[in-house]
Amino acid sequence: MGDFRSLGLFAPEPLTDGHDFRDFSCGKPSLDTWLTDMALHNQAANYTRTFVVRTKDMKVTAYYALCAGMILRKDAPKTVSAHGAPGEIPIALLARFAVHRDLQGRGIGKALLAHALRTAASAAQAVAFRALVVDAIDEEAAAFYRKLGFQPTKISPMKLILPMQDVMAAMFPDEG
Amino acid sequence: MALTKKQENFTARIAADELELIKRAAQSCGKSLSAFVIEAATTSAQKTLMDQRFMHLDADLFDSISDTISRPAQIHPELAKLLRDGSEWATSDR
Repeated sequence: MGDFRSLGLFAPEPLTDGHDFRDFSCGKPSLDTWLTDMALHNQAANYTRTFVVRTKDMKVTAYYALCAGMILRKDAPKTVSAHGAPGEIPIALLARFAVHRDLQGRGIGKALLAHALRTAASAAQAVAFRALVVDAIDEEAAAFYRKLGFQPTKISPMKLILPMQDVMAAMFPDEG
Repeated sequence: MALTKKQENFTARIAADELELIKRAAQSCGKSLSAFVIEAATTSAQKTLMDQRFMHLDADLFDSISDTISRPAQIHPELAKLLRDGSEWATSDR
């Protein structure tokens, strides 16, 4: 893994109003404006949890946001569906994920995703959810997620899912 | 995105006052009507999809997801490599 200390980057930490994200630019306007306009409000309102990588002077260089979600089966019986599976699947949604354009291509995305997966795995110990879901913003992003085990769903090749058991198996390979 | 070839077409009916509003907005920021509409719609579409926390799926879609999350754990080599040592941020300050 890259040595991010040499880049002056701090380990991921929860977003606060002490962070400077005004100049954040990842090349995708919708990911920039979410950070500048929504992230702090959503943090305070407990809609999403945002973690950021920052420099010494508090400038945000990468971020991700997680929240809870649910996949529901249309017309599912209230109790249990025909083959015994419940009609709802609790998930963690990787709602936003971006690296500043000046720092792309240095492994920060992979390392930040590792942090997101550990955070999700830890949260899943307390509040059950079955998978991590992400909507890739473009094919490059989808390829990034696929390479790390996310699978395209039948919903769309851009809507990808990573079962939690795959995360656990990768984190704890000896406990299979 | 800028390098994507634009070879598809899309037409839509629109009320005169709405079209006028969009034209004025596009003009005010120096963009063509098409560029303005596509940019706005794309941003809105990305936001809608990325914010989608509740997915109501037809039975076959739901069941295929249910199958995926119910199967035994799979080892993804790249993921295993990434998560094995846990040292990604070890040398960074906290």
